[in-house]
Amino acid sequence: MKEIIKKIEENKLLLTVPNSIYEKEAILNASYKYTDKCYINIEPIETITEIYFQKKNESINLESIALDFGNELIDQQIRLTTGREYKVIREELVKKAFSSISK
Amino acid sequence: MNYQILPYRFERLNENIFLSNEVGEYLFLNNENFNRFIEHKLQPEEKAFKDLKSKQILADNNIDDVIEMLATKYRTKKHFLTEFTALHMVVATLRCNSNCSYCQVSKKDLCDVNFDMTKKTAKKVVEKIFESPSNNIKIEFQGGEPLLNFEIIKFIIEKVEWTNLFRKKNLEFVICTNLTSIDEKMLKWLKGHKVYISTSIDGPKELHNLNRPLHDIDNSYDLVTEKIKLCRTYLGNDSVSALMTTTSQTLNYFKEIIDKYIELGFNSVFLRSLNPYGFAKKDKHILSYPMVDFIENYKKALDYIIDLNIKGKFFSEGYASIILTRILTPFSTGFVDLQSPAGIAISGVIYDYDGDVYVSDEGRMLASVGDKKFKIGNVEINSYQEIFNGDYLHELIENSIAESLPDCATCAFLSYCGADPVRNYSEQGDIIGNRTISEICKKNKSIIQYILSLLQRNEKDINKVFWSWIARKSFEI
Repeated sequence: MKEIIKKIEENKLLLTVPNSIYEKEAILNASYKYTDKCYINIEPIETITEIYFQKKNESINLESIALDFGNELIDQQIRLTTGREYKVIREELVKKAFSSISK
Repeated sequence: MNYQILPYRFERLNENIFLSNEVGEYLFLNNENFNRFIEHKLQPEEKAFKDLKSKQILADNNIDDVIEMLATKYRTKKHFLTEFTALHMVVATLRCNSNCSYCQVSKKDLCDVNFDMTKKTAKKVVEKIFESPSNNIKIEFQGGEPLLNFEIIKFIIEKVEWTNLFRKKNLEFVICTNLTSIDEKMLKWLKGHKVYISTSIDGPKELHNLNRPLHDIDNSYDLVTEKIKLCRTYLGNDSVSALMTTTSQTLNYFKEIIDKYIELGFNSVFLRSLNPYGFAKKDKHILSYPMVDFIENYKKALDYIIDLNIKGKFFSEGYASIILTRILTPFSTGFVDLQSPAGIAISGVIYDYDGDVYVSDEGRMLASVGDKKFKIGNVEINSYQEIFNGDYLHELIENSIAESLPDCATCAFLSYCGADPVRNYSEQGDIIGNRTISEICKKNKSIIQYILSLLQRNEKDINKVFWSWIARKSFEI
């Protein structure tokens, strides 16, 4: 299996994800969830995106975070993909809900 | 495509996937069914398909009708928007005879009458209240200790009642008081004006006195409990409600606090964590505790209360009742701290003793320590339009729509929760705030998840208890 998690320094780790599967918004949304534990840098390079995690404090287990991040990324991408399907419906729903009071 | 996926949010919870729609209807799916759902592989004869369809998370026909129905439910959930400001809090005085360890309003000395609201200001406050388009007007007197300026309370109530002879709004009056200075003469007057009392009981005598000593004596408990009885004699048994605030000294005593509330004749308690304002923020190192500790104690307390109910004692927990109403009914609960957009000014507003108007009580609390970030005007200087329809309030509201806030936008518990820009600002110096470090997000999310896990158990007795809390009456178990 291709190595996607790479330890760079003692407190720094690199996760590489394919752009063909994950969109920028999904990567950003997933990253946001870990901003309390890590400093995160995101660098898109051609067909991949590199995500650098740096510990905010010693008690943080970076490998465990990177593994969780993978799952979170999947959830975020599902939200985007399915969200696209019902986007118009959501807009229509809110519009209809307030149609009686909108000017 | 054999079906249309409708707007929904999801979260992994207890080995399952929790799904909710825009109006808070929910269900749990296992991983396999969730994957098949999003891949459009569920078949109409399957239970998961039928469940998702009944919860309006998918539709296979009559999609326009389903949208119409969802829109009606959505409008009901957001009903507080059409009502506009119904809760008007009025600070009668900042003077106070209590010496609470966690005072959030930075109270003033007993003799400093400069911090009393004047009749001139009160008159303007009443004018502004009646400019609100809401048909329901609840006026809540706050302090300091509001009864120390009883004359202004009487003045405002009489003026409001007179004005209302022509305006015909539904009125409600509440005085938030430590009760220690109430007497029979006041009660006789209050009885004639249908005024409710909201007081504070922080638990058994030792705990209450620890948190809420009076200026001149430590034992406020005996006085308050005696005055509760007096109020009930004059105003009726249901006329007095009580609130508690949790400090580090009371955190581990929820069971004792609940027992005391029952002993004092209350049929509910609202287990409130400490809000980071005023002295509570200044003395955080003494009074505060990690939010995870509050959450763990809250869960144990909730279990204890549920058990009491199952054994036949009707008694509810306020926060859980609000969350349950949001989860299990289509109705809007009107809890201003937990709305989207936030209830700031558009659901509840506060008029300080000097006529300054703040978007919420917490906004006023920040001002009491010098930060007037949430001041939206002054009743003597500004018009109603300037105060309630100004650019600044618009900006605050636009930034408090949870549906568009980072992390909240995709949160599966959004329908049960809300945005609190004042709390975000107080905690993090930013009205939007970062959810990953937000204490209030941690609290709301954990408690909502816990309540959902209890519902997921689908136990008949627990369900009956929950419905009795929503209906506010005892059901036979």
